[in-house]
Amino acid sequence: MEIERTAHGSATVLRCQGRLTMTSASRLREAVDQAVQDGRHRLVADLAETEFVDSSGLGALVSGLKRARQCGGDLRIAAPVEQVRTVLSLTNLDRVLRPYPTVEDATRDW
Amino acid sequence: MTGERTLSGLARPEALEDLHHFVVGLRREHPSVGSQTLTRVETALTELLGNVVEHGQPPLEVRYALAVTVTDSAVEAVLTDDSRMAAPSAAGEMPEVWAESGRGLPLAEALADELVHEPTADGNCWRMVVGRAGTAG
Repeated sequence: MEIERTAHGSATVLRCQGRLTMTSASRLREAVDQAVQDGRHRLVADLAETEFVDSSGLGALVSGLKRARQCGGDLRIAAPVEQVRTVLSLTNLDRVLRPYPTVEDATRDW
Repeated sequence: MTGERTLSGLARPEALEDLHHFVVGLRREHPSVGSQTLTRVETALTELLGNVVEHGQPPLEVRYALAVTVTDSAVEAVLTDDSRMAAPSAAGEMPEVWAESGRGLPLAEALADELVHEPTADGNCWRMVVGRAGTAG
């Protein structure tokens, strides 16, 4: 998985390309940690190019959400593909990680 | 079209990548099986095999074997391992939303139409069925 970090107004977008699984989830955790350490607490995980997420990847997203909220920020997810929407729904995580259609939608009120 | 496809090896993290390529092969061999069905199969098997990778004993030395059969009505999978530690006999409840782990087996169970664990003399056996729902399945 490749994670590209860009600024989008006051938000930081983490563009996740590839498969977010047991072997790559640590990269997302590290990217969130680094952003938070840099004072960037409004985070968007852009999942448009995330082909597949497993339970380890879900754990990393929850970890990132908790980390951002502990600092007064938030982590939002944008443009998840169908597989990702399915696992979010089956695990009830769509209650706390509500998918936004686009990065622009996710950052509109920031 | 029906048929069986098999995969085996050591339950190490790279086995998950092998599993992905295995499912890519299934998609190619069985174009009549809907993409959504095979995505459910891949996601569930990733969780079952990932559980072996993460919890199998001794670590990195457990061998696994997977056989997937495509029938007219379903995709059936049998995953065996020789872990010295028995897998949980049931998938259990889905953890609360703030948990960072523990979703793997409940997620596999939610994706499958049938999921049964059987302890074996050598380790574990998971039998899973995912139906080919409707004409798109």
